Amino acid sequence: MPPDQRPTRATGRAGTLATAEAAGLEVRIEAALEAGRIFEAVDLARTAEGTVGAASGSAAQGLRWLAALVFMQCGDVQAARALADSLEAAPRRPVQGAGGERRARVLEALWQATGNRADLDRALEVRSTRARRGNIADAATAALLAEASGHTALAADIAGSALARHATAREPAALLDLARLALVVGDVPGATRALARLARNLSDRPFERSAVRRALAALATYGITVPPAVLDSFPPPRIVIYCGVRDASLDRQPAVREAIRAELAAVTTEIAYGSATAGADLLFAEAVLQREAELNLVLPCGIQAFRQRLVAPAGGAWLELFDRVIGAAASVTSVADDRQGLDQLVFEFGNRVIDGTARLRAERLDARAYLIAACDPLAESERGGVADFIDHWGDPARLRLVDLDEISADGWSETVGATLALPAGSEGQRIAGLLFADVVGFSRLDDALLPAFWQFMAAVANHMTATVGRPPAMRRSWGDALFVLADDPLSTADYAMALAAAVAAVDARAFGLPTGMAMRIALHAGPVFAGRHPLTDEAMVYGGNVNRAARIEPVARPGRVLASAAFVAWLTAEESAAEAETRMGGGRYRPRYRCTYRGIVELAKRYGAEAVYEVEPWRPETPMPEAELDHRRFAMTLVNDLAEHRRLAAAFSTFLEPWGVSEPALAPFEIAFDELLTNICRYAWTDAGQHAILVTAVVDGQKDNATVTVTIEDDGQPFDPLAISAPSLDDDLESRAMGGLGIHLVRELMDELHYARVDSRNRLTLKKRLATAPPDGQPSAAESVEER
Amino acid sequence: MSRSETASAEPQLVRVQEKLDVVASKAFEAELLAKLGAAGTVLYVDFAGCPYVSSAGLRAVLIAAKTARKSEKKLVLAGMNPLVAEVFKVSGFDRMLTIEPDLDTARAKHG
Repeated sequence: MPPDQRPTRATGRAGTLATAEAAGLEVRIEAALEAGRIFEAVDLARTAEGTVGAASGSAAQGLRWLAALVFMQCGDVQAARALADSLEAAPRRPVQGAGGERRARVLEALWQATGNRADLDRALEVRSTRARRGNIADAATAALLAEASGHTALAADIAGSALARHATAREPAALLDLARLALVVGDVPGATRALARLARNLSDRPFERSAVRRALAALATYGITVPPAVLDSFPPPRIVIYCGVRDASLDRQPAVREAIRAELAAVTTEIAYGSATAGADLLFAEAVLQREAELNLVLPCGIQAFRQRLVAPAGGAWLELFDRVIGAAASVTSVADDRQGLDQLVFEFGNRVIDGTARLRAERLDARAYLIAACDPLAESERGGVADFIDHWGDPARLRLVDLDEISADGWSETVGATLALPAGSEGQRIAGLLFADVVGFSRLDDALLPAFWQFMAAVANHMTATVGRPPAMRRSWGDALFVLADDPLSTADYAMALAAAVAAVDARAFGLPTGMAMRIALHAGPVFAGRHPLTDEAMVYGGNVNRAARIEPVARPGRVLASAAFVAWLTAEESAAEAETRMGGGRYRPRYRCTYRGIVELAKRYGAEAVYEVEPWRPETPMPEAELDHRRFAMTLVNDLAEHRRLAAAFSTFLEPWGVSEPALAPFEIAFDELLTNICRYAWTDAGQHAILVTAVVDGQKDNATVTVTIEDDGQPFDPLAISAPSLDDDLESRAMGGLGIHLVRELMDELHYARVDSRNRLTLKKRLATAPPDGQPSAAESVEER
Repeated sequence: MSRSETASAEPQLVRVQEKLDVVASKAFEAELLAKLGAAGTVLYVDFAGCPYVSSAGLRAVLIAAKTARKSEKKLVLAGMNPLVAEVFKVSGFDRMLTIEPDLDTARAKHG
C-alpha cells in the first residue's frame, strides 16, 4: 500500500514576504526547472503562493508569475489561469525584466492552450512594449503575436524595424529570430538565407537542430507556414535501436565489428538505444561510442547482476568492454533490481522498454527510429531474443539486418552461447502493469461522512462497470488506497482511465461529501514476485517495482494519471506493435493513449529519480490550435463520442464571444451540434474504434449583420442525414414515431443545411445569421426561428 | 446530475435544470419513467432551469407521455423558455401534450 509519504508543503502565512525569502524561492524554482524536476518546482511554486499571498511588491509579483509559468509547464492550465487572472487584476503589472518575460510567456502559453483572445492581446501588449528596447527575441515574438491577432500592419511595422536594426546579427539564437521576422513580412528568401547560415552552425548538433525544427513548425500556430525545403535543412536526429545475439565468439571476428559499424554509419546514427549483453549488443554499444553518438542502455536487471550473469561468463575482454561502455553511456536504466530473476520474459519486457523509450524520444524530437538487428536468420527464436524483437517491430522500411550467418567465418558459437542462455521463466515471478491510487482529502473526511463516502465509491464502481471490460488480474484495497495489477499495459491504462473518469463523473455533493473528490493515480510496470501471504493466504505481489509504483503515486495531480517511464515505454511499444499489425491488415490504427513528458521526480530513499509522464486518452492532432484562430475562423477536431458536442459547444461559444452573440442565441447551434454529431457517431462507422470529426467555421459580414457557416466532416461511410424523411407532425400521441426528429429540428433552427460527399468524406454545411442581443436585452433566439 | 438529486425529494415533480442533450436525456428518461411508476395521478415536468432540449430530450418526453397514457396518468409540462417552447412547437409536440406557462399555473389547473 502507498506509504504515508506526501510532498511537504510550507504552511502559508499572511503578510508581506521578506525579499530575501522570495529571492531564495525563486532561485530554487529556477534550479528545479533547469534540472527538469518539474514536480519539485510545482511544490516550490505552491509554497511561494502560500507564503507570498496577496503581497504586491514587484519581487512578489515576479515570483508569482514564475509560479504560474511552472503550473503551465506541468500542464495544470487551470491553476495557471486562476493565478494569471489574479495577477492581471493588480494595478501594476511587470513588463520589463524577468517578471515581464515570465508574464509574457504565461500569457502566450495560455493563449496557445485555450485560444483565449484576451491572453493573446495582453501578450502582444507586453511583447511589443519590450520590443521597443531593441531585443530581437521580443520583437520576433511580438511580430508573430500581432500577425496571429490579425494586426498585419503592426506586425509588419515591428518586424521591419527589428530587421533593420539587427540585419548583421550572426549568433544562432538571433539567426532564428531574424528568420521569423523575415517570414512575418513575407521575405522567404531572407528567412532562407538566415536559416541556411544557422543550419551550417548546427550541422553536428542534433538536439539544437531539432529545437529549431520544432520552433519553425510551431510558426503554424501563428498562421505562418514554413516551406518544407527550409524545414529539411534541419533534419531531426537519427535514432537507432540495436539488438543482437548473445555470442561471445563474435569479438574474434573483425568482419562482424566492421558490418555493425557500417550499418550504424549508413543511417548516420546520432542517438542509440539497446542493451549490453556479451555479443553483438556490446559490439553495437562500442561502435556507437566510437561514432561519438549518444548511447542509452536499458538493462533487464541491475548493473552488477547483469555484469555477472550476462558478461562475465564470456571472459575478461568482454568485462573490460562492458565497464567501458557503462562508464561512457549517456544513460543506464534498469527495469528491475538485482533480486528479480533473469529470464526470457524479463528480457522480452526489457526489449519492449527499449523499443518504447526510443520511440518516445523520437516523438519528442520529431524523428523516427530505426531498428538494426544482428542475428542469424536461421537461428531458433526464443522470447526476448532478436527474432522476437524483429517480429514485434513491424516496420520493414526502418529495419536493417546484420546477417551473422553470412559474415561470420566460424559460424554460431554453440558452447559460449550456452553459458549465456536464459531460462524461459522464473518461479513466482511475473511481468505486470501496476496501479496505485488514493483519494485526495480522504484523511480529512469526518468519520460521520464515511458511510456517505462508501456510497460514493459504490456509485463510482457502478459507473466503471460500463467502461471496464475484463477485470484486471488482481485488485487490493486498504481504506481509500487501491492497488491493481494487470497483465498488459493497455488494460492497466484502461482501468486507470475508467477510474479517473468515474470519479470525475459522479457528483460527490449528491452524497453530502465536499466537492472536488478526486483520485491520485500512478502507473508503473516491470517484473514482480507473486505469491500468497503466509498468514492470510491472500494472493500478493512484492518487489522493488511494487515499491517504486507506490512512491510515484503521491506526486500525481488529483484527477490525473501519472506513469513511470517504464510503463509509458511498454505502453508505447504495445501500441506501435498494434498499429503495425493493423496497418499490415490494410486498416488504420487509432492510438488509444497520449503520453506527455512531465519531468523528473525525486523518489524517496534508494529509489532515486524517475522520469514521469501524464497519460490521457488520445485525441486526434488538430491542424490548428483549438477554438479561436481569429475573429472569423474556427477549427476543432473531435472524436466519435456522444459527449463531444459539449466540448465543441463550449469552444464555439468562446469563438463567437467577440461577435456579441447572446447565450440563448447560441442554443440553436448547440442543438444542431448535438443532433448532427450524434448521427455521425451512430451511423458513420461500423467498427468500435476511435475516429476523428473535423469542425470548421467562418463568420462573414459585420458585427450587427454577420452569418456563420459551419462545416462538419467525417471519413465514415456515405451517410446523408438530410435524406431521412421528416416525421409526420400531425400524428397523434399513440402513433407518433420517434425517428427523424433531430434532423427536422436542425432544419428548423438553421437557415441553411447541405450535405455533400467530397473526397470520400461526408460534409455537412450549416448556415445561420447571427442573432445578437437587441438593445432591450431580450434574447432573440426564438424570434429568429419564427422569422422563417 | 444535479437535476435528479434536487428533484428526487418530490415524487410528482421532475425539475429539469440542465441542457437536455443526448448525454443528459438518458437519466432524464429514467427519472420520468421511475416517477410515473410511483403513486399519484399527475406528473409535472418543470423546464424552468432548462436552456434547451434536443431530439433526445423530446424522445424521452414522448416515451413518458405514451407510458402515462397507458397507465391513465397525466403528464403536465411547464416553465419552458422561448427556445424550448419553439422546439416543442416545430416538432408538433405542443399539439399532443399538456403545456402550461409555469409550475404554479400547472398545479392550479391540474392538481
